[in-house]
Amino acid sequence: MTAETLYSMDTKSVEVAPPEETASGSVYLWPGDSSSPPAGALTFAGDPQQPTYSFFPLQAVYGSGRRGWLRQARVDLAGLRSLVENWDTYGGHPPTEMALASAGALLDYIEWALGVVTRERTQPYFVGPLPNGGVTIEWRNGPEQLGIDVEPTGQFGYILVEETPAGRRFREEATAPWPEITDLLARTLTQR
Amino acid sequence: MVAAANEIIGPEDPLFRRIRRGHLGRDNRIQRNAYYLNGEPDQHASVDLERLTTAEQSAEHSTKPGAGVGVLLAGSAISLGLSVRHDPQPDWRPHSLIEVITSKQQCVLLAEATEVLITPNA
Repeated sequence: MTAETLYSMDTKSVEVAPPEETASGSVYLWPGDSSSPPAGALTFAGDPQQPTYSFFPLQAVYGSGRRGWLRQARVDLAGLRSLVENWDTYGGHPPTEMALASAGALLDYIEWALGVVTRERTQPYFVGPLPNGGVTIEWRNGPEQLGIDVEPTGQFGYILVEETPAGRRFREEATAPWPEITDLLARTLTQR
Repeated sequence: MVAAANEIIGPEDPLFRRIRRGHLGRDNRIQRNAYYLNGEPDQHASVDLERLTTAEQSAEHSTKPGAGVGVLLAGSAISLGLSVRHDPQPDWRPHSLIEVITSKQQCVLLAEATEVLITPNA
């Protein structure tokens, strides 16, 4: 089964970032050019040769349920468009449209899925640029920290900092599928 | 002409790291992206040795105006298993390196150990 057969939007082009050779993951489906938000996430799991696909439509959440918790985050994200080449004086690139759109889609999803439950905790602590043209968004809930790195390609990675009786514990992944990212966010933000 | 010997950097030596506005959280704390390069931890993070310069000179050495400066003790990096060495450049003797940063965890801890000395305005 190909991505195109699962994707039924009225569009002439569907841009699909090729999944890496992993057992599970997700790719984003983009209507038209990458300047628009992704239409959805296509997750895959199981045998890499014959993965099981499921389509998660992100467009369903746009404009719904916005309660204002993420207003500042959206302002911060939009502000990253003003960055220029070498913004950090170490050769940093400005965020790509793909990274900005994916980060925006993540904010939309989190507000829609968790906003009612986590309310002001839904607000990110930090929205900032990554020097490779990506975006980083960090959430905090007490001592817990979850930093999501959105790569220039729109893929996600993360670092999770947890407080345990044995001390701080760090967990990080350079790339992680959409379901893992949203699951981590749900767990981090709903912990008391 | 004999080149000046490289400095020995000890744990008590303050180091300057140039920062931009995009490195600061809403509470003005330095974030881990201040220690990133190309989206990954900056394996060889450039810093300036405080005893060879000032925070103002370090900020002005930036190729763009509006840079800020953060300060951390070399010991903060050394305690993470990183090395800190003097790496003087022909036009900038204070230049030093924190090596080899390989994880986001190290970036988080370095950022937490770095205090804002000069707030960037760009």
